[in-house]
Amino acid sequence: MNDTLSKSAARLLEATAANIDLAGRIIEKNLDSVLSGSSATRDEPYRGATTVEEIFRFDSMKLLRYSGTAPVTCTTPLVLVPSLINRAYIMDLMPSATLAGHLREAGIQVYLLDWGTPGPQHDHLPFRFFVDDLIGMAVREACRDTGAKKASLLGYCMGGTMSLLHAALHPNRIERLIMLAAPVNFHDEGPLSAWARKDAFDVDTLVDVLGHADSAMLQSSFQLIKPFSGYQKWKNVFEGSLDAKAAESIVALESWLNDNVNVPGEAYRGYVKLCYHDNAIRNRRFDFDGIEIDLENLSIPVMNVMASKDHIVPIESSRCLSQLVSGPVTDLVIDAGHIGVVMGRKARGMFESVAKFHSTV
Amino acid sequence: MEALFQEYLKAGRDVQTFWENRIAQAMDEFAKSQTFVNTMTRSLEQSLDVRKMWETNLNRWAETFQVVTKRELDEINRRLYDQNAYLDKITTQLADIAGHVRAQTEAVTSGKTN
Repeated sequence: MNDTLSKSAARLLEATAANIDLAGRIIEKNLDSVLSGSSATRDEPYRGATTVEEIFRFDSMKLLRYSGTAPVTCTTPLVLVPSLINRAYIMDLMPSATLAGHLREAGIQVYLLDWGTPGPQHDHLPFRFFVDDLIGMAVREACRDTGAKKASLLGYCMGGTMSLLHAALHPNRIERLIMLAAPVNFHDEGPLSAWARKDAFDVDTLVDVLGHADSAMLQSSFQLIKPFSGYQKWKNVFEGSLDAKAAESIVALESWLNDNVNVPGEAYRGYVKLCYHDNAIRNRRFDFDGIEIDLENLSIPVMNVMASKDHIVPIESSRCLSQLVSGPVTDLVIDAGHIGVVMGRKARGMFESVAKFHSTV
Repeated sequence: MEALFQEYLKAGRDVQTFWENRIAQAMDEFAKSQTFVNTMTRSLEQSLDVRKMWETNLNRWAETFQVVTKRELDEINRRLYDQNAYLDKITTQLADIAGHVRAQTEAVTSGKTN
């Protein structure tokens, strides 16, 4: 252990010396640019409905603890893992539609892993860094905060796939896994699968040129999945007699939908290649950035929540999970769309099921 | 007359909804088609090529006039980020070592008192 430590320290010193040298050269060339700073490092307020407290921070990644009136009755902490593509506060969008708030009021100590706003300093980080290191830090801090030995993960969309990978890497640290509308089989009937397959999408050129996956590009591709839906949505809003609550809900949802972030380049490359190009997770045994993963070794209880009207992650894309892992899988299909599954009216019953599933640890 | 007019309006709306749904369905299908995928791929490749050419020229210009580029600033940001990651790992390792030492000390101390 001492040897590892001294090696890490030596590497750190070496990196520090190299950085000081590089910084010196850059400052010599142009002082103003260095002093103006990057917009990506600015702090942003949390935009969810429930009160939160920041208990850990690593650069722009934050671990937030939800406050609630109900006493905590469940000793295992639950960490919510959102997608890298969108903002984290969808898990806690409005007081009337908050998964995090509901779980907290059910006596669970809930934490949110907020990825923050990635900047160019994150572009070189591999997908595994997010899956292994950053989720690992969140789990570690949640356990430290509650005094528990293990934590449960609840992942939404891409966050669900990432949680599954993290649980497969560290099954001894995770108590239970809950996946909400999370893709597992990426070669499905949906348009995203057709657009992102190997022969249609050259992710290497994209990342090499831009350095990241641009939020505008991702947003427009999501809109193109159902090209006419934008028109139909606003027509319904115009024609329907909107009450104050519905209007509030639409404003909150639209604000979230248009509040996008760039995805760091190397992580995006890794994700697209692993999932959309190779569809590796479906094979059960696969190589994840040099580590052999066999999903059959994953024996923890899993709850897999799918949405019947999901046009981004079709049901067939998640349903096969029960055939891949060896632990018990509880499948739950609800009548909602991809976003409705996490904040819709029809998702309330599911919130109860998730709370019950987590609390029976 | 009023009833007839209302009926006429309703029929008009029904026809509009019918065609809107048909168009929506056709566009959804088109989004999945090979033609659409090919067009989108070509358009993406072309815009990336333009961006690449622009950046190459910009970098040459920056090199000539010795101006700091965003790429260089990004590089230093990346290195600082990596250092933070190393520091976090070292802190975790130190905390682990401290935990082991504490456990050992407790074991030794309790052994002595017994």
